[in-house]
Amino acid sequence: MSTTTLDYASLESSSKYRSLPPPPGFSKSQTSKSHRGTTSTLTPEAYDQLKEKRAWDFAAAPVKSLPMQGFMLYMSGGGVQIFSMGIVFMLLLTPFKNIFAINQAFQPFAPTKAASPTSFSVLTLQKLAYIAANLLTLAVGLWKCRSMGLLPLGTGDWLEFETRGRAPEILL
Amino acid sequence: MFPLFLVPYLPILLLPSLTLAIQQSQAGLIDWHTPLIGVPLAHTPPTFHRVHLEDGESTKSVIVQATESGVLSALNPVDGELVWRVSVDEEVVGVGRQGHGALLASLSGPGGSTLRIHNVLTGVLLHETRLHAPSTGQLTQPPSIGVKIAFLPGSDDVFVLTNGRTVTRFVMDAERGGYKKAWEWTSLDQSSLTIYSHLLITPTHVYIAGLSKSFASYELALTTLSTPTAQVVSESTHVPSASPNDVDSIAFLRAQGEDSDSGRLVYLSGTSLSSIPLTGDVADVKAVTVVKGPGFTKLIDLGLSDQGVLSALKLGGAGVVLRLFPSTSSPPTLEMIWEFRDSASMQLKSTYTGGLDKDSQPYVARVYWRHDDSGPLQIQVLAPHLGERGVVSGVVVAGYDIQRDGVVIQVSIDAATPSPHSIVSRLVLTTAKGSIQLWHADKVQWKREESLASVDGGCAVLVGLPEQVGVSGGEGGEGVLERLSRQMHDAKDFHHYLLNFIHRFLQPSSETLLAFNTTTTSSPTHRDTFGVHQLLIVATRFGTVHALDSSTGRIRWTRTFGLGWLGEPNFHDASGEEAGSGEIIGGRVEPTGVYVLRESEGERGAEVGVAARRRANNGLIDTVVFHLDALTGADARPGIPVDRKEGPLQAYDIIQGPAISTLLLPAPADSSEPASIVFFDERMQSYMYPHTQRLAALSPQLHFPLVQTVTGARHALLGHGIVPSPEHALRPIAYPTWRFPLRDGESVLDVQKPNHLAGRAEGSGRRVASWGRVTGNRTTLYKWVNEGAVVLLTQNFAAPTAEASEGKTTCGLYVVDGVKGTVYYHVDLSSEEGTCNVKVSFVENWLVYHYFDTDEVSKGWKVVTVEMYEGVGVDDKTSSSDTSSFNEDRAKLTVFERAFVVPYGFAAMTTSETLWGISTKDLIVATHNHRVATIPRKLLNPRRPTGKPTSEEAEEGLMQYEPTIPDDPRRVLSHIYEIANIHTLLSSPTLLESTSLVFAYGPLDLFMSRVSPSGTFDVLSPSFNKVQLVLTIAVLLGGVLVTRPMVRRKRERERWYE
Repeated sequence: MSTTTLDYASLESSSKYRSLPPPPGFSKSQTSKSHRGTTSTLTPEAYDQLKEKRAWDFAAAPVKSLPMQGFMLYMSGGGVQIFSMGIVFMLLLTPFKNIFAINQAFQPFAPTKAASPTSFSVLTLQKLAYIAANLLTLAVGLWKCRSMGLLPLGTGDWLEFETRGRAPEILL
Repeated sequence: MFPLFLVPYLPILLLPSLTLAIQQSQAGLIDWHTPLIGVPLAHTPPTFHRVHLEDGESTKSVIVQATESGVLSALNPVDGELVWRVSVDEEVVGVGRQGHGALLASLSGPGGSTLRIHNVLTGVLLHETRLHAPSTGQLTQPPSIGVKIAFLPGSDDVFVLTNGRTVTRFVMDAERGGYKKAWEWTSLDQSSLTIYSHLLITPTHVYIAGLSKSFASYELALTTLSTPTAQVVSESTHVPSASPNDVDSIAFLRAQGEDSDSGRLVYLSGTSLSSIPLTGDVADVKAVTVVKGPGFTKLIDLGLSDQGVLSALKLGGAGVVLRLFPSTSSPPTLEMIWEFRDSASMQLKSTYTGGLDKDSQPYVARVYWRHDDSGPLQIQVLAPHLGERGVVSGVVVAGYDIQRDGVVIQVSIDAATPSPHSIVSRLVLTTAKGSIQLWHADKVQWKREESLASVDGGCAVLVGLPEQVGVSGGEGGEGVLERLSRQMHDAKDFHHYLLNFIHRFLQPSSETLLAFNTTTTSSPTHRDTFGVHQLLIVATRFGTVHALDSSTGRIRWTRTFGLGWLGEPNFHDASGEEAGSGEIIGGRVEPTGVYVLRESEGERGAEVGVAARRRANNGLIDTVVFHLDALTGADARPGIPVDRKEGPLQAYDIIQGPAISTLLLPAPADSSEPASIVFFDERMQSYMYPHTQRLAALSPQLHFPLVQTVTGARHALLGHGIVPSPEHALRPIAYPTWRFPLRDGESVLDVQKPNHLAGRAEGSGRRVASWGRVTGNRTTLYKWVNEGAVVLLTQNFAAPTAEASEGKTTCGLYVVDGVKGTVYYHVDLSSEEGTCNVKVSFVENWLVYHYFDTDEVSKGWKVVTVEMYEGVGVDDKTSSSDTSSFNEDRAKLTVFERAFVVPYGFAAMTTSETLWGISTKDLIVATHNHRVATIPRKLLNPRRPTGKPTSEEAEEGLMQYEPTIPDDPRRVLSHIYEIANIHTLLSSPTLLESTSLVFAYGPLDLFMSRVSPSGTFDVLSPSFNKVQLVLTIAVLLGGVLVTRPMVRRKRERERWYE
C-alpha cells in the first residue's frame, strides 16, 4: 500500500463533487487520519507549481508533435489525395479547435485558488505559448497547402474576379 | 504534381484528348455540303447529252456545262444531282460532245491552250494535253472565238481548232491507252488577219472556215484538209465576194442521213443568206445564194449542224428554221421549213435552242415571254421530222415567274415523240438569277440555285431563330368552362409530347442533338433546345438573297432584289429633266454586305440589312439597303403595306452615288433599338439605316479607319472621327484625324477587323471569358485586348536599288490602332511571285497569319501564331481592354510568336466562337486541297518551349515546340467531301457553350458543320445509359422500401432485450 495519498479532490478547486458526502462505508476522515502520520501531503502551493509545469508542457505539446507530423506530411506526398488531404485538414483544423477550446484545455492546470479557472487571465503566458505553438502547426499546414498549390497566392488565382469595362472609344 | 517522368511523353498523352473532328456516324447529320457548279458560261450552256450504251438499246442522259466558277460538270437530268465535276483552273472556252458517244472534250485557257477529254458519264479524265503556252494564246472577245472541237462521226477521233489557226487531230492510242496526236496543221497566215472559227469533219476532208480581215469588211476564209494526212487540199483565205457579217454568221451544215463526204457552208452576208456546197475539194467555191435581198439578220446555231438544222432571224425579228435536205441527184438543198408564229412581234422576247431525241432526230424549241419581262414563259417545240413540214407543240409555263426568277438566259431541250403528232419535251433553263431549272411540260422538276456559288465575303451571316413562347392563358375574365376547354385544347398534343419525351429519354442525349436534322422534316420556325438550328442569310451577286437552314442546307426562302427606278420606264434624264423616252434602263444589284440589324430575342425574329450597290446599265451607281425579316424573308422596312411585301424586294435608297465606306453601328447592349448601317458618301457625309440619334450621340467616341485612295493607289490609312452637327452640312460628317503613311511603293490590300466583330451587333460573340493566361507558377499574363485594333495588310514593292538589281515585293502586316493609328505589331513577309496572299485571323489577343515563305532554306507554307500580352511580363496589368487608346499604357505590350510549317496552303481561316468564350478557340482552316480542318489552340501556343518543358511549363500544358504541324486526318471536319474554293469561314455560337457552328463558303461550295474544341462537356456522352441510371435508382428505392420495415421491427425487438 502506498504511503502517500493523493487528494485529487484538492486539485479540483471548483469541482461540483467536492461537497458530495462519501458513499456508505467510506469515511474520508478515517482514511486520511490513519495515514496521517506517515504521509507527506503536498501543499496546494506545490500542487500549483506542479500544475504550472504541466501547463507549460501542455502548451509546448503541439510543437513537440510537429516532427512527427512533418514526417507524415512528407510521406503523404504532394498530390491531392485522400491521405494527404486528411493530414492537411487535420493540420489546418486542429490549431483552431485547440485555440477555441484553450480555456477548457488549461482548466485542469489552473491554480487551486483561482476564482474562475476558465478565464483567459489564468495561466496567460502558457496560453500565449500554446497559441503560438498552434499557429506554428497551422503554418506548417499552410506551407503544405502552398506546396500542393492549394493556396491562392498567385495573381492567376484571382484572375476569375478580374472584370473589365468597355473602352471609351468605339471603333466602327 | 504532374509526374515529371511523363513530361517527354506529354504530346502523346495529350493526343487522345484532342477532340476528333468528326466521326463517320455523324457525317451528314451534323454537317452538310452543297456541291455547286456555278453559273454556266454564256458560250457553254447546260446541254443535254445522250449516250447510247453498249447494249445498243438503252441510253443514258446527262446535262453537261462549263461554268464561270471554272467547273466542268455533268448533272443527272432526273433529279439535278451532280454526277461529276472537275475544277479547271482556266476558263473553259469550248466544249465538244461526241454524237452519241461518251466523250466530252473541253478546251480551256486563252485560245484553247489545254485540251481535256473526259468520259461524259463518269467524268474520268482520258486525256489532258497542253496545246500551246497560255501566253501565246489569242485573247478574243468572247473567248470562245477561234476555238472549236469536232468529232469524226462514227469514230473516237477528236479534232480541235485552237488559237483560230491550228487544227490538231487526236486519235486513240491503242498501245498506251489514252490519246495521241495524229497530226497538226497550222495556217500559214500568221498575221492574225485570218481567224478560223468553224470546223466540219468528214471521213475524207476537214473543212475549216473563218474570217479574214480586209479593208472594208470581213471575207470568208475556207481551207480544206485531207482528214487522214492533213494535207492541204485547197486553201482559200479569200473566197471571192463572200463577206460574212461576223463570226456568228457562218455555219456548217451536214445533211442528215447522208454518210457521204458532203455538207454545206452557210453564211450571212448583209441580209442575204448564201451557201457553199462542200463536195470533196471545194474546187469551185461558187457561192449559191439561197435567199436574196432583205432576208435575214442573224443566224442562230442550235447545235444541230450534224442534223442539218439551223435557225435564223428574219428582218422584223421572225424566227425561222432552215434545214438541209439530202438529195440523191443534186447537191443537198437548204430550205426554210418553219416560221414561228408571233415571233416577229415586238411585244415578245424569244430565245431558240435545239435538241435531239433518242433516235437523234432534231427538235427546235422557242422559249418566249412578254417584252416587259412579265407574265409566264411560253414554249414552242418543233419536230421537223414529223409530218410534212414538221409538227409544233406549245406549252405555257405558268409556274415560271419572270419577275421572281429572272429572264431566261440559256435554254436546252431534250425531247421525245411517244406517238406521232405529240411531242414530250423537257427543258433546262438558266435564269438571270443564276438558277438552273429543269421543266417538264409546265412543271418544274428540280432547281439548282447556282447563284449560291457567287457569294462575296461579308455577304453571309448566321442568325438565331426566335424562342417559342407558350400560349399565355388565365387572362382576366376567363371562366371555369373556358379555362377547361383551353386546357383540353392544349392537352390534345400531350400524347405526342409524352411519346417524344420517352423517345428522347431512351436516346442518348448527344443523339438528340444529332437528330435535329433527320427528324425535322418541316422547317422549324423556332429555336431548338441547343440553338444549333439557325438561319444562314446569303446575298448573291445575281441579285438574290437566300435563307438556308443551318442544319440541312435546304433553302428556306429566296427573294430577289428589286431594281427600283431602274426597272421602271424612265422619264427623266441624268440631270433630272423630263426626257420622256419611257425606256427601261435596267441594271443590277450587287450586295456589298449583310448585317444583322436585330438579333432574335424572345419571340421576335432577327432582322438583317443588305447593303448593296445598284448599278444602272447607263453607269450610274446608287447605294441602297434592303431590310428583311430573317425568318420569312418579308420586307421588314417599317410602313410597307402587306401587298407590297411580295415580288421583288424594294430598296431604301441611301445615297445617289457610291458609298465610300459601309460600317455597322452596333445596337446598344441593353435596349431594343436595332443596330444601324452607316454609309459615308464621297463627301464623307454619313447616312444611317435605320436612322437613329445614336450616331450623333456617340460621335465623340466613334472612330473608324479608311483607306486613302489617291489616283487609284491605296496609299495610306486615314483615321476618322465624326462631327455630329457640322456648320455647312445637314448630317454628321466624318473628318480625318490621323494618317498612317505607308512606305514608297506600298499599298493597302485589306483592313481586317477582329473575327468576332464582322457583321455582328454589339454584345454578340465578343465575350472574353478570361482576361489572362495563368502560367505554371500561377503568375498571370494579362491579355492585351484592344477592340479598336485592326489588321492592315499591304503589298510593298521595293524598287531596284544599287544592292539589289531586281525589285522585290514583300507583304506587310500591321496591327494598327484604328482609333489612334499606333502600330502595335508589324512584320514583312515574302510574297508569292509578287502577289500577296496573306490570310489572317485575329481574335482577342491572338493573331494568326498564314503565308507562303519563299526563302530558299525554309520554303513552304507557314503559319505564325502571335499572342499579345499587357505590359512587359507576367503580372504586369495595364487594363488594356478598357483604357483609352490615347493612354500610353495601351501601347505597352509583350508579344510571343512562333512559326509553324503546314503541309497545305490555307484559303481561309477563322476561330471557333462560342457563347461565353469559355471553350478553347480552335483555328479553323479551309485548305487548298479542298478540306475544312481544325488546328487545336494547344498546338498553336506561341509559348511552347523549344527544349523539354520544365515542370512549370508542363503544368501549364505547354508541349515542346515542333516546327511542323503535321497533316492529321482526324482534324478534318469535312469528312470525305471535297469542299472546293472556299474564301470565307464563318463561325457562330450556339446555346451550348461547347459547340460552335462553322460555315464555309466561297466561289463554289457551301459547307456547314459543328465544332466542339473543348469536347462536348455540356452534353452527356452517347455511352451514358439513362435507363441504367433510372433502374439503379429504382432498385435502390425498392431496397429501401423493403428493408425499412425490417429494420424497424428488428430495432423494436432489440429494445425488449436491452
